[in-house]
Amino acid sequence: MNPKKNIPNIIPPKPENPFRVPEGYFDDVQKRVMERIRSEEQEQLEKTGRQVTGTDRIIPPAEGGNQESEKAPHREVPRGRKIYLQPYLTLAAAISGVALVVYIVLQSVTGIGAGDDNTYDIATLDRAGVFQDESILAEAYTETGEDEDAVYSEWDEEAITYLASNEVDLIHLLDNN
Amino acid sequence: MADNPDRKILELFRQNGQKEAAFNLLADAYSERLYWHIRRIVIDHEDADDALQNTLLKVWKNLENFRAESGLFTWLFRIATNESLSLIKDRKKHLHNSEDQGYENSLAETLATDPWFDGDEVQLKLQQAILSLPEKQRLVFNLKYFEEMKYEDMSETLQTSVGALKASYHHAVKKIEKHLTGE
Repeated sequence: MNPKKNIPNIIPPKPENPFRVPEGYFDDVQKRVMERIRSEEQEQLEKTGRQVTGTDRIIPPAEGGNQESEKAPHREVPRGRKIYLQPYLTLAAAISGVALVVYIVLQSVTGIGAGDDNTYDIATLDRAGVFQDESILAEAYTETGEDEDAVYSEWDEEAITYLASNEVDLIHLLDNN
Repeated sequence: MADNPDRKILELFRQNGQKEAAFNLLADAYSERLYWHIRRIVIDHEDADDALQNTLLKVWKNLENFRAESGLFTWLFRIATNESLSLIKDRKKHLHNSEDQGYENSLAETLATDPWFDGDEVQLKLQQAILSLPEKQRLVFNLKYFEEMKYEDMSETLQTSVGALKASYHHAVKKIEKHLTGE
């Protein structure tokens, strides 16, 4: 027994390293890893669609290839949906506002607005917050599946009372949803 | 002092425009040591090269977050160990071998004709015996026997208690002994 390592002498003493590497292997490990890093970073840049400017690093050319300059032609990057739709949203809001004002004036003067079938148009309902509230109720009533009874029991009394008192047509609400 | 080169590397890495220089210093200092550690686990040179590159890639991506709670080399060592074990796991998956040691058995068989293995018959038998161990035992045996790592350092690297490591090494030695005597 080898007292130092508590290893039976069956196991040979620590041998010289039996493994070899190709000549010069360790000389270019760093270079190969850096090439891989640059290649991955370049792929990442292209994937995210970020604009590449002249301030970015110039990537050394691959053998036989042309130098890839990162001064690629300027690409217009979409600015995002929110900004893109803004003009349309503004316009829609303006039209709604004008329509509402006209409607209120007409209603107050002539009583026009309430349909014969007691349905109300969306603008009125929306103004009063009724439409939004009742869309939730509509959803509750259209719940299907195992929870249907549970949903019904949570909403039923309050919903029925409200709907009955306002004479709102549920079918109309569902259609608008 | 060992800390000075590590501190220099870390400081350089955090400076603007010096990341690559720092990385080159690090790779220069540690890649060969890491390679041999990996190679003893995965055996095959091409696999060791893959695992080393993956290790250095991870280091590049994460060095700025390194908090120096452990030494730099301990951290590198841990990444290299994980990459080696991941690679083995990946190779086993591709073999679709139902046997637990199927992959290691095939490595043991091809070792004799591996152009990057230069050992004599005794060394070949020893490597084949080591390959018969479960991964973790193999790892502990390599670290203790070939790299002469202290149990306390091993514990920090492998996040395992000293007691468990000692037991693991004891079992590894017994199994290798049995393998070499043909029991």
